[in-house]
Amino acid sequence: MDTLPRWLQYGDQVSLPSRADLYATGDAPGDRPIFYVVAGMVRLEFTLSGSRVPLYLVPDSVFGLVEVLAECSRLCRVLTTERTILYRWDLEGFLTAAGVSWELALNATTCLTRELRILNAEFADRVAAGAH
Amino acid sequence: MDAYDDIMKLAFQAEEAIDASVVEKFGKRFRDKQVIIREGDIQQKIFWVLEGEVYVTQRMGDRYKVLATLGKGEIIGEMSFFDKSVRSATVIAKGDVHVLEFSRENFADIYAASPQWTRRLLVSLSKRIRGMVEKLS
Repeated sequence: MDTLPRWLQYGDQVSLPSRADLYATGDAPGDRPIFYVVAGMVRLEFTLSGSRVPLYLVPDSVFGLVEVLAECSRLCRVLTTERTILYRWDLEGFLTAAGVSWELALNATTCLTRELRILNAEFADRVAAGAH
Repeated sequence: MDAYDDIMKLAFQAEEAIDASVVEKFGKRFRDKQVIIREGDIQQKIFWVLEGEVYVTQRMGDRYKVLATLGKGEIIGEMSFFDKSVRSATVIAKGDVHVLEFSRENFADIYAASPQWTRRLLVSLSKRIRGMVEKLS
């Protein structure tokens, strides 16, 4: 792992086995609540009116940011789907890293637009089904 | 001063201190109910709301449903930029609206140069995600 980008130094590394829970819906964000996927895969799982809506994240993805910036408890459950290596930051560390890496800022923003797109599509499906 | 200089000036200005020359160059006004972004289009413009509010709507069958109402300081049209997709929503002016209109290239320059714009965009998206989860839960 000696080719990792230098901006990861603002966070610390976490190695997890497959099917490890990172956090659950309703949890308070911890001390280092923002994660970057170095290797492996994680699944974000939104429980919306009883049904589960998954979003799979691959290397270079960022998650855990929404609740910090929107100042709320965790909105979804997150677990690994295979052996996974993550980096985690507090908000200051993340913003410092994003300030020196256009790629990280871009990846974080793209992950958020995908989350919002999936939620919008779910909302559209429910409206079409007459639920909203 | 060329367009790139104007963009860099904007990137590092505080929201409340946007230069009049920048507003003159990039500003655009929309009237009540005027369409700013149309669902299905491949237009690449990005807008920053200076004054007024907009409805973000999506066509569902034969009607439009309001997904969100966004106002001053919000960025609109960014999802197609980052997700490389066609417009997924129609954005309509709610009353008179004044925006700054950026091309894809101008916005990329601002975004790459200015951490405050990165944070502004991340906060905006996070709040919209929170709002949608709450609406769906």
